[in-house]
Amino acid sequence: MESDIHRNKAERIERSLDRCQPSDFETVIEGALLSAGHWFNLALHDMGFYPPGRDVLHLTKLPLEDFLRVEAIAPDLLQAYAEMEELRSPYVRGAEANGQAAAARALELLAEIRAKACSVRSHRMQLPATWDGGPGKK
Amino acid sequence: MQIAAHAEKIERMARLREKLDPLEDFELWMWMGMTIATHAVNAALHQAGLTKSDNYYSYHVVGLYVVPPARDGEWRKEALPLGDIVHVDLPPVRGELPPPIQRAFAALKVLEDMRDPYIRRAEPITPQLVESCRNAYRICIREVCELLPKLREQLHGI
Repeated sequence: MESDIHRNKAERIERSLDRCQPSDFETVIEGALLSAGHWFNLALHDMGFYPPGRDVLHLTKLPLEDFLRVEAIAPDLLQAYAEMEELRSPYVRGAEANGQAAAARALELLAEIRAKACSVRSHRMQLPATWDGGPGKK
Repeated sequence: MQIAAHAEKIERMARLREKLDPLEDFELWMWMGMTIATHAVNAALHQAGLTKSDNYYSYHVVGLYVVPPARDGEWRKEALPLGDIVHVDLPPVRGELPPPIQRAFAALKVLEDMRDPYIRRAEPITPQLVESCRNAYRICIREVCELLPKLREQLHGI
């Protein structure tokens, strides 16, 4: 999807997040993750890494070679998104204590992911002409 | 996860969902409806004895579960017996599903199919879509409550 549409979608979700309280930690984490997913895909497109027709669903869906490339180009962005994804199982799907602290962390990570995504530059890697951005979810 | 823990989360999320505007906040409203419905079918599957209710949590890499540390140790990911499912029939549930769970699954699938076009992409959000989403959510919760009457009491008025 085109970067400006990812941006609009992310910002819409963030406006909805404003309606949540810290005690709504499952919803905060899910909303932050949804928005972060759009920022992450925007970054992949703006780095020239994946074309707009190819979005990534989870980091685990990235082929390992592409994971290593993104890690080399934007390590902080990748790390923040990875940490965000790991909040879901214990606090949204699971019943771990300290959900409010996890939600606060999710919002910190979202702010970091948004800032990193908005400041990426072209990757400048020489990739094979046949490289099509990998088999991520279309 | 334990049925009571599912129910507690369902109630909390359902209260917040009521505060969201179905059109303006569609992405979060729909997504949390799906998340609530997933907790509900998981509780129903435990109640029916088809999946294990235990202290480990589903993960998006199907087949793996996230296991909390006993104390201050590390979180682990392990291949464990079927506990909570992530999506409809993912992982597949063996055995005969009671009719209410079959109907709940069908309704949850309607919600899950909204993710790609309306949340991850940007197809137009319309009042008809909202109605379809609302209807699927209600059916899913109603069918689960057939097996878990206590949950119906908990959600009364929400």
